[in-house]
Amino acid sequence: MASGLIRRAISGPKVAPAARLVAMRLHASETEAQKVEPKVSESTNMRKFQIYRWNPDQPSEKPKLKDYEINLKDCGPMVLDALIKIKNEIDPTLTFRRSCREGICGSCAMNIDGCNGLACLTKIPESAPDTMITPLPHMYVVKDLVVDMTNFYNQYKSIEPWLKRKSPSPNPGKEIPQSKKDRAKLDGMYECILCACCSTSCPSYWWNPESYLGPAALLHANRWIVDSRDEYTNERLEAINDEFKLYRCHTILNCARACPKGLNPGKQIQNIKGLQSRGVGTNFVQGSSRFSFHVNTQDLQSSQYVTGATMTAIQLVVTATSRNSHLCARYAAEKKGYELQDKLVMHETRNNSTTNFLAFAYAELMKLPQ
Amino acid sequence: MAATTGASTARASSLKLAALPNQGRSTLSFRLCPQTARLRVSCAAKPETVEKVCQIVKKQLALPDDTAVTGESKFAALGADSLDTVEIVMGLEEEFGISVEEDSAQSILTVQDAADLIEKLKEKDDA
Amino acid sequence: MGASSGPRLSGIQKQVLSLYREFLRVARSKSGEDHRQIESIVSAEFHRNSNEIDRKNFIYIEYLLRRGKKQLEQLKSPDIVGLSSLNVGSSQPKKT
Repeated sequence: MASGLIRRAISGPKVAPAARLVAMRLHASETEAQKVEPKVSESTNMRKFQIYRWNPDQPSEKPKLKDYEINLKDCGPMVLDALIKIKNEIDPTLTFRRSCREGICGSCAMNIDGCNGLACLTKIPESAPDTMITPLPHMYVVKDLVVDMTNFYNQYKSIEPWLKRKSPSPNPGKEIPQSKKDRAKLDGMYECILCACCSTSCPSYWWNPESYLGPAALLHANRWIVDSRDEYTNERLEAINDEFKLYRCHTILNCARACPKGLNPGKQIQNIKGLQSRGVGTNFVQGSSRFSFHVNTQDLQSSQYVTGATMTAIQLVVTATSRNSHLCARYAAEKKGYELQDKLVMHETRNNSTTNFLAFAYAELMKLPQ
Repeated sequence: MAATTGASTARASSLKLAALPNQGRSTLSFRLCPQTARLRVSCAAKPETVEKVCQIVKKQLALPDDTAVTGESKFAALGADSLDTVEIVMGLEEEFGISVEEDSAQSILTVQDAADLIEKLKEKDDA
Repeated sequence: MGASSGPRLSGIQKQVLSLYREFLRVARSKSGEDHRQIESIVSAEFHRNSNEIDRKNFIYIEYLLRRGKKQLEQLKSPDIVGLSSLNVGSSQPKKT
């Protein structure tokens, strides 16, 4: 505190901006403060970039932030321009991914001043004294700003991002037509470039990067669920109906904030949840016989089942092992005109009794007098 | 060059030094001694299996022929690190046509352990 | 089990040994000459790293584990028949 005041007294009255800079960053060293001072002139606009560096070929060195100073007067306006300038002119060992420089390839996703974004679409902040650039948070670093995207891509793969059909194509060998209205439903999803800015800004994804699919993969899941030409909507909904894969989304909406393309993955996830809560996508609704074969007496004991033949309204207390079985039981009850008093108990450890319980609940409800 | 060889021999000798107190401790230990004894009594592997294991261990570790390897020989004492132990177990798998699980592989410390495990797995296969 | 009498291995050590075992298993699935070559390259790499790397340098060991897993996945493919290693001299001019 005291040293800060002294420093302010030394450099304060002469050049106002530099003084503010020093006052703001009390940990800045004395030499640094002196360096900044003379460089504030009209022909040059020096800016410091702090860039995360780690090279696996030098294992004894720990990850660190390295400072680079460049003149913004002869540099493009975007962070990517600055990175390229640093790589070309100061340090060729600086490693980062980049390709299109216009926000369509998604290569240059990184964390700039604490916010995830594409370096090619992010302007160099005008007011800040320096800019800090680190790799996408909570990702394994391969080198410098390059992160390991294996898990992210595998999650994308797991939602089967391609058109799946049951019936043969209406015009064999040709494309499957789609109305303008149906096509419009894909707006806000097809634009996604899989840069991983959203997923790596999501706290839920940070804690469960393996089991939670993350906003990007779920947005694409919804893209295929909504597509009018895809005929595996129900299977797709069923496949991600999971405590972890989907329901780790707690609508924090960091994803929407981070998305450099201005999309809202959180909204698309909400759509999936909505479809599931309406029972769309469960075989149960389609009246598939799959469930009725699996009544298991163990579930009879494990689920708290209360029924009163004398009661006018039948009460069913549901201890569901997943959100889905709970919703299906409710759906069945509503369909038959019963009142369902539900109690949802989420088990952290999921087991395979979901289907069994579902069958049980359904069978019991169908047995009851109307 | 001479310096590096010197360094490596120094390292090797320091390893041996480190191994000596270990051996000393094992004679004092109340846990280790009865255990090997019990193992030998309960499921003594056939001498030919032990002999074969010894041969493979020698081959894998590239030990000179006159090195004494017996049932009680510890892999670590023969100069094998954990990676070598993995290689030995893999070599045994190939030789005896068995498949050792991860957990059991990590509990193998001596030639006797290995021979016992092999007999057990072979019995299972035959049954 | 006998694990209690063995050396206590940390989680990361177990992962390394398991990766090594996997590599050796995959090597077996390849044909004769390549089998031996894969084994010798893999074995040399693991032994070299076990001697050279500081056992507390977790960042680097975990990095190598992830890289190893990726290489293992590639090697598992039946299309991959062999493995060769190229030694790029470490005496490259380095900027200091």
